[in-house]
Amino acid sequence: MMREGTGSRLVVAASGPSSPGLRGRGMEPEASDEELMQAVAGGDGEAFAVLLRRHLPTVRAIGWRMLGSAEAADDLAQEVFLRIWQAPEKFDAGRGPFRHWLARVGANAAIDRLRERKVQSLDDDADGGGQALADTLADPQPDPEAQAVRVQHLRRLREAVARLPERQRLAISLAHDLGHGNMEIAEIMGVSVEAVESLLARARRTLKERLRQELVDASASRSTASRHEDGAR
Amino acid sequence: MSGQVDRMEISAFRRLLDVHGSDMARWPEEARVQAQALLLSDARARRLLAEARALEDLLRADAPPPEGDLAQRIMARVMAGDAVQQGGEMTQGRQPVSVRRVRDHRRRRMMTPWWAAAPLAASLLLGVWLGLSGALAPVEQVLLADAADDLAFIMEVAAPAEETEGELL
Repeated sequence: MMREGTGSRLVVAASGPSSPGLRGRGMEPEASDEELMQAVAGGDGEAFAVLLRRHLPTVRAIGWRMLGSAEAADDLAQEVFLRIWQAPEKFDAGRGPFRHWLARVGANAAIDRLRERKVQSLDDDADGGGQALADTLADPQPDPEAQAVRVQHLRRLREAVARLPERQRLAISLAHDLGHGNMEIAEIMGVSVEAVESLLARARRTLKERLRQELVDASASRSTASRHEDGAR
Repeated sequence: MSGQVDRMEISAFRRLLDVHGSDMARWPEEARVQAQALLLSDARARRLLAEARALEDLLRADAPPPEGDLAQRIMARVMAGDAVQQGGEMTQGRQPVSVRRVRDHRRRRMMTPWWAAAPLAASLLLGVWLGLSGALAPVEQVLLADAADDLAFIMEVAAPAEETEGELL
């Protein structure tokens, strides 16, 4: 059995009728990323499918934050994973873990795309970006008014993030979307920890300045929710 | 150890929030102890912490929508041996070993020359004529039927194969 979240259809697709499969070669689906990449270098589609399932959200998260749309994030993920499939030898396990290398590949591809098309204006979101935002809310509000406020906050957040310099935006994505610590971010971005701290500090300060009112509202809402929870106890 | 904690300035607290975020587990230990003492005594510090948490909540709420069938689409492109655009140049497509094997077999089949079947077809036509003319014994007619089967097999192998990638998906 594949681990949870890995589509069996994909595994069948990738293994083909004559492939012994990961398990047949003594390689469990829980194999490390580095072991899987070694198999991918030998043309193992099944190993690639496991890596894809495992790390697709990482590349999409970077694309989402850097490029500002789900479509762009999906395109980026396709490009990155096809590149990995076609040139797996570019990964050198001796130079760090796969997930750091992958984040670096994703980040570089995102920055390339940004430089090709410049920053997409969120104001050009002609089909009602509010609805698109509402659809993506992780925690939709039952109250339509609260929902509208939340959508407005997220719109302002995206505008503020989109105006950050590329490297600050990337540092924010690696810290908040992928949960990396400052040392890991330094490794991924190929800069010193001090440089990462500076990037993050400037980015967070700028976002707080640009989102002052939204953050005041969100803090108030958080306090209210917290009081309600206390009252319920 | 006196148990005395040095007082942290609010500017230092703000700087630590900007550098490390609101999760104090990620802060240097000494700073964490000082910050906790400051939070107990200074409303401004509590407000700054709430502001940092609100920003992180917003960032967390702004997650990408579900990926749908993206993984399947990428695998389909891998199976099809799609090339990818890199810096204005197309890279060579690459397929999984199992798919390459199927494709190579299919290519060999497609490359079987039509003229390889020509002598057999000629002898078959001669045999049919001999059979119809009553010149062949029954056993010879059986051999003739076998030859017809062989010809049909060769023609089938020589015919272009239908695209059947879907079978592998």
